[in-house]
Amino acid sequence: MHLNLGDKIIASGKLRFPVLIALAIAFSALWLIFTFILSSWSTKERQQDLAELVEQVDDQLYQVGEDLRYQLLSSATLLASRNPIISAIQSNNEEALQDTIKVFHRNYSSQALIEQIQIYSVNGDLLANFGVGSTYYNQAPHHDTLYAETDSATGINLNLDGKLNIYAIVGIFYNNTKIGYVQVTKPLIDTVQDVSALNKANLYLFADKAKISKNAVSRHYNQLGIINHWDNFTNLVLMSPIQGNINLPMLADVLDDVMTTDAPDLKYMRDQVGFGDKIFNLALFPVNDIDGNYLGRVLLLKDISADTRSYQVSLTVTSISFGVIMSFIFISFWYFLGRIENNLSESEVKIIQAKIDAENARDEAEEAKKLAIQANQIKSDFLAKMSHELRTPLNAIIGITEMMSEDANETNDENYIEPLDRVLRSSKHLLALINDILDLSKIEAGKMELHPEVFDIGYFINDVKRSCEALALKQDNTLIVEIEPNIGDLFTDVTKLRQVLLNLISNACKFTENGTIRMTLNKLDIDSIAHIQFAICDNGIGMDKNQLSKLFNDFQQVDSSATRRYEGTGLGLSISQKLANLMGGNITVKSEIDIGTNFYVTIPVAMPLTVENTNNTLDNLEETESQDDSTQTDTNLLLIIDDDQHMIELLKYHLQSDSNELVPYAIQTDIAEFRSAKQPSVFIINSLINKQLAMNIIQTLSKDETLNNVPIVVICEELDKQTYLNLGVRHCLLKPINKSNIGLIFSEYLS
Amino acid sequence: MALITRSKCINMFFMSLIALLANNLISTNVFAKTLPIGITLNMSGPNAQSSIDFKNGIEAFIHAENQSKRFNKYQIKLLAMDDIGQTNRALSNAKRLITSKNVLALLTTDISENVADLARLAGNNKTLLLSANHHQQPLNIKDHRYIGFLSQPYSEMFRSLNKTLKNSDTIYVSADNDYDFNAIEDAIRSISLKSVRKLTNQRIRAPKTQKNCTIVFANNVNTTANILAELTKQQNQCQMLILPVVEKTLLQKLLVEKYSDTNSHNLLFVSSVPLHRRNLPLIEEFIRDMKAYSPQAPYSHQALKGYLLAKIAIDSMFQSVNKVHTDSFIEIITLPFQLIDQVVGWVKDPNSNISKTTVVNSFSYLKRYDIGLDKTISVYKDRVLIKKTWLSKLDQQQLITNQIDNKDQN
Repeated sequence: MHLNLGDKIIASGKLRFPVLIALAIAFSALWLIFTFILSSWSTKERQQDLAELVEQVDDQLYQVGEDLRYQLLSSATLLASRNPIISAIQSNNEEALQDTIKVFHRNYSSQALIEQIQIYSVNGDLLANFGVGSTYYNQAPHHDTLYAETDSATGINLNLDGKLNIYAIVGIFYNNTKIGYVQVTKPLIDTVQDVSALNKANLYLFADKAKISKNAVSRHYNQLGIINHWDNFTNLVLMSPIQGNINLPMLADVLDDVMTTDAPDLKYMRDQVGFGDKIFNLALFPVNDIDGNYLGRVLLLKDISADTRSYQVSLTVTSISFGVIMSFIFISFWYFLGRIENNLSESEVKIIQAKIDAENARDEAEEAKKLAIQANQIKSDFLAKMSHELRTPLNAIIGITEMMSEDANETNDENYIEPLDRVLRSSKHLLALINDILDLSKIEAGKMELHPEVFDIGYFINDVKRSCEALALKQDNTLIVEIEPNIGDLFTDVTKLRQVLLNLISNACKFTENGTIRMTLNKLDIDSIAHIQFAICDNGIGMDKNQLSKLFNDFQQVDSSATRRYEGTGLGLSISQKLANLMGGNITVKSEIDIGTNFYVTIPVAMPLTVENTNNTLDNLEETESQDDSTQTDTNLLLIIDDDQHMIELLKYHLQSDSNELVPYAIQTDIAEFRSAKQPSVFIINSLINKQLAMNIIQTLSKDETLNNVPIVVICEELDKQTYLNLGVRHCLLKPINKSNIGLIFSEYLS
Repeated sequence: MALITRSKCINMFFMSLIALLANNLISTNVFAKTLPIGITLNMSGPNAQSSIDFKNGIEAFIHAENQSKRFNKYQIKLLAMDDIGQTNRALSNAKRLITSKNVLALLTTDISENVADLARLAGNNKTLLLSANHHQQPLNIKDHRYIGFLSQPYSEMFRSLNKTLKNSDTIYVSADNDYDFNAIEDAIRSISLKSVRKLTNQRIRAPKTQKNCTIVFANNVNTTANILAELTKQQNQCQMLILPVVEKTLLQKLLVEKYSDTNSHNLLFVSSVPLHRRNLPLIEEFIRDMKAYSPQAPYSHQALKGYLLAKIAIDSMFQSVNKVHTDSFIEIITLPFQLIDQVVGWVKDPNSNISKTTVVNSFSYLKRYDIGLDKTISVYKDRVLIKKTWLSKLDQQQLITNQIDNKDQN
């Protein structure tokens, strides 16, 4: 995938917007917290002020009430001791009694603030009554029992008409005998209004509805000429005049709202209650008599409109100031973040460009790799296909050279012996080199096929040993083979294994002089799988670590001088390793300079089968062997079907002997011509001239009843080997064709 | 990364908000709990000084206690009411303090027969009443349970003064009221058959050379000072015995400022608190706390009495509310309800969850209580806290320390 810079668009505000949004949220939160603190602090202050005011008013009401109570007590005591009153009571002269208290009221009420004077008999009957409210205070207070028990008493009481009064009552005695009572009374409302003025707060007195008479209250209000407040409040009756900006519905609304409970001992306080355009702190607290009995409540309203307004102004100013500061910070952030963003954008462009370059380079590398693989494949295919073209002329060269060399030896023509040997050696070296290259290319191309078979290891190793003994003796080395007893059989490609072992032994022989090459065979288990380990150990020149690391590389010898000194293509170990791997095994090596080298070839006892190599399984092998037995004949008639005269000559040269009769046929020959009096021992068909004709001949022979049991050997390419084997061909003869491999093959078919 | 930062920010924001809210709630009067103690005394007129000293002593101890935060968030608050020297007013005040203000303990200096009414009021409302002076008449057993007296009754006091009075043939008593005179007369007669007479104006004005006589003073400090001045003028040779009810520090000041001290050797001061023994831990603490409260306040006997009574009352309260820290859990549980209460507006007395009865019980069980005197004190059936009197003389216008201490009568 090729990237362009256009794929990455740096959005303007990518950094600025999130940061500023977060900042805005943080500022909002800060502002909320700030407002919350300010508001809480202000509320707390107001609540404390209100609580202190309520406490103060309560104490003042008590103190003023107490003062009044004792003034009333003094007045009542003075009145009770006055002779005119005692005389009037004794003479039962109510008119005189009334006049006396009237005079007394006139003389003392201004000092004692007495509103009403009442004289009662010992039995509680009202004898005289005078005062501002005398016309409607005509009912005896309901504390009758007090008269009988006490000589004097003071307190607060609640009349049936709803008036809360402070009173003092004192016994009137004559010769130590109680003859009546004098009671002086003052309504509490005056005291409440005094305290109200003192504290610059509105105080309203409420009477408890449950303790008073509706009729009496109505009469009282009617006489005062004001509206009856009985129905305006749920549990209370307002007994004070309305003050200031407050009106009755407002008061009723608020009180009904707050009077959710009527628990006498509870105070109610609430700050910032709105009355029209005014704001008040509100408190409601109980009024009890001297024994703690609930009589009513006092409502306190403190106008805090001015304070609230100034608080609101200061809050607004503070908020605006806060907003201005925050805006300034916000704008600053906007500006600086914009600059940071620009810098970041430039950096980001560079980073993205670098990333694009890297991705393009990677794509190119992948393309190159694909091409290289493809080229390698083509090369391998080419080399594999070229095998025939390379080896065919070489076969002719080697074959003819051998032939000429033998002739020269027979004739003892010394002028030709040495040059012909040189040609032969060079040709063989060239052939070995080509074979190695072709093997390697086949392996790399995945076209190397394995043909596993069961064989006896001991027999196989002895065969290998025999092949190598001459090589070992070449540099005065001793080849020793040690085999673990009862090592058994091996199921693998015997040819490839032989190739590997021969390569390793030949290497050992090559790099050792006057030493010992020891081949040891052991059984071992790797991952619970039985393996055979072939250890080829020499005490030759050895290798260092650097050399070891390059050992299995293609065309690699320990050094270039070694290549010159010791012949070789540098492909042997690489091919061996690859072959071992193909067989499911491995080659490892240990070596020390001047001490020697140990190669370990580890091959599974039973080679794992793959699709390619399943054709020659153990059963097929056995079947093949049985066929071999059945086709064994005594005749050695070899029919060669080939149009290549060089090849016919070469075969004739290698196979012709006294016991063999070679009959060449052209490949186009009719099948009928093959039938002769004598059954041929083997057909040799060269498929390299015309593959299709060769195949037709093979198929025809297979169908012929008289000829179908004659073994067929086909000279073919490695690629076609399996095809021919599938057609029933016994053996495929691959190039180069020399005396040894021809002899090896035909020894099975010829007597 | 960005997510983690964002979530952290949000968490921090909410945590801050919660902390702020909690702080705000705790700092408002939702949790502002007070432990009120009450006192009614005469703080008006010429005799107000000794009451003010007494109140200063109480305030000094409360101030120190609130500073120490021994009661955690609870603040001790003194509710003082002026009874303008009227016994009825004192009773009304006490009633208001106990019933309306819900005080946990009521302190008084009242020496009159009014104490019986106060004791009855305290008993009816199960409130601890501590008096600086002893009531001279037996109290109702039920009421007795709720009261404590700092000093002994006159009968016990004069028993310890027997030695001082033994050379006196005649004992004159100067008292503001008949109630006190009768109590002192009874006390003196209970220890000897001496002649006891009331000190009249005639007696003061008529110079006498009689030496074997004692004049006992149980007046207010101004009256005592005036009589002493008159007697000095008359060159009276009698032994002068100033009872604890007379504020000695103030008297001493009045004597030094206005009168000759030529006859001061005749003056004997009977104290129910050992102010002159400055080395006692109690006195050291008292002076330290008084200084901290108000450097100008005098270290008077009345102040020490107030200090001592406050200490005893508050220690009794501490025994009752020493588990206040467990209230925190309850407060957290009930916080929503408190908040609703506050929002709705109804408020209860802040100390309503502390039992007055527990305070009384704690006081009753005070045993071997180290108050900073020579010996520990215990509350027994007689409810007398300090069963000891100290007798001292003026020397160089200072009370001689510990010169004629009486024996401990415990």
